[in-house]
Amino acid sequence: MKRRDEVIVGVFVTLAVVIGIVGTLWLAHRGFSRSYPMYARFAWGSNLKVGQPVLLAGVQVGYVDKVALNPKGFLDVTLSVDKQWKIPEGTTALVQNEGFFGDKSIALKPCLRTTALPKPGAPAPLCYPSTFMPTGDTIPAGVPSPSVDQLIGRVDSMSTALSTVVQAVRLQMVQQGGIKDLRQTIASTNALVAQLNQVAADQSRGLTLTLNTLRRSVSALDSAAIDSTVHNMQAASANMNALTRNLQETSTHLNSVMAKVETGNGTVARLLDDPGVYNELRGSLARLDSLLADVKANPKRYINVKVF
Amino acid sequence: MSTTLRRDDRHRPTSSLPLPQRYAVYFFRGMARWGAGLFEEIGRRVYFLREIFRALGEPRTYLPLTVAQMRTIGVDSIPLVGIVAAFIGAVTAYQTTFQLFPGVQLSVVGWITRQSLVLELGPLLTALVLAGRVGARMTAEIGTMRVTEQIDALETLAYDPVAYLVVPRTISGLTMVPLLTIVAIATGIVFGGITVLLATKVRLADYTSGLRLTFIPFQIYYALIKATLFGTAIALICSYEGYVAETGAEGVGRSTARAVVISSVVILLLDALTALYLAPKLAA
Repeated sequence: MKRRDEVIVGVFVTLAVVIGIVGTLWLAHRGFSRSYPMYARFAWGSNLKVGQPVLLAGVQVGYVDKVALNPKGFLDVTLSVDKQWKIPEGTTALVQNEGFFGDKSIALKPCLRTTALPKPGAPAPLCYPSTFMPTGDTIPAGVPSPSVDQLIGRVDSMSTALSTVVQAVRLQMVQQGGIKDLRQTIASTNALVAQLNQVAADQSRGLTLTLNTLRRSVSALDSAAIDSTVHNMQAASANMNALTRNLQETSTHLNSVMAKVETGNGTVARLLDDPGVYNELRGSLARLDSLLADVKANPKRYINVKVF
Repeated sequence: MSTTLRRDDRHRPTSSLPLPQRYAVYFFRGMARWGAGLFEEIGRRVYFLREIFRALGEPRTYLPLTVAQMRTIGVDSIPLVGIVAAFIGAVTAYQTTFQLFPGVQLSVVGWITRQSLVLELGPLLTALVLAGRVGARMTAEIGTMRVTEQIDALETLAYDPVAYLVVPRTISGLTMVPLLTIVAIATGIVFGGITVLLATKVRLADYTSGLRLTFIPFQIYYALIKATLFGTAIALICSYEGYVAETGAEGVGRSTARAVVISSVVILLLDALTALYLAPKLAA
């Protein structure tokens, strides 16, 4: 019985101690996930506590391991980063708000540098560094996100501007009779719309009458005469088609002739293209002229009329 | 008119004094008796502590009995402590889930459950439960031995009754209560997680993330320090009340009730004192 008590007590004590140690290590993130330390230094880190998440591009890659205020007034923060993640070269760290109630996290943002200068007005492209920060390196602090006080300040300035606008509107609309003018404008617009409605109604009535007249005129037309006219027009159209076809054929033929002329084949083309013919023709005409002149001068030489 | 008392005045009965003076005498006399009684009680307990420290020099007497007391105080209390912690963890997590308003991260459920169980509910409720279960039993056992003169018999047999009865219980109390507190905290956290997983929209990842948020190992040490103090207080107070139990069954019952009340109040006072001195060191 006594030995059984000892065994049971021993098992309980062992289990409780193991649960305590393992549970503490698990809660403290140590002992289960392999991690390596990185460091960051901030000028301001209110409400930053051990155990808060470390985010790289929004994904949790570790947690805050230690927060210490150094004698120079800076906050030295030790980050524990899971070994499966590496921090790209050029990454900056900043303390950012997590939710509305003062929760904080360490945001690691990849670099925005680029080897090529961005065009004016264009956003700087992300760089994709191939190197990573060594273990135990200090991640430089980035530009912090605006604090609640700054946001309140901006909201306050916006509120002031809005108040100025409201006062100006009130001045214009209330004190200087803007609302009265607006009401008069609305009343005038209503009257104009009523007049337009009246005009539209009158026009609609006139249009209806015109349509009725047109319907009557159309119904009065002789359908037989229209048919004969249409037949005549169809015949004329057919004749025109035939004429057009003939003209096209003639034109085609003429084109072929002209083509032959241009190519120099055929009698006409040779006549047209041969300068010898032209010259001979000019000589013949010259001789004909001289012959005619001689005939005129000496008709008897050539015309010898004998009666009997 | 002379203000000097005459010799006869010092021997006048109080009842013969004028009414204001009579009640003033009654008041101061009562205060003096109460103060003397208080210091007497403190002195008796200091003597009792001295007896315990003296008895620590007799390990042959108390060590064999300590294991049995460890089983009675520690192992046999696991079911009760486990049930209490499971319900506390489950209810804390469940209620916290429905107290969140829009915009609050769901991991807060795990964070509040862990902080409640580790810093306060785990050690405190375990100690209060053990004050009822173990402390009352301790007082009744020793008190019964006192009224049946078994303690006198031990002295007659040259046994040190403090080394035989009190020291094993004290050692068991200060070692088992911290271990039971660890079990209670672990049980509460596990059942809190199961509850939020099954009954709410909180994901397990949110819950575990909250469990780890702003955790420092000193929070566990803080719980163990409190549990050690509570266990020691339960063992000492309940043993003493049994050791000085009055004659008869009624006396044992009265001692048992007083032991539970005093140990519960002392546990709450120690809880407040540890929070006062150690809570500033809990900030992550």
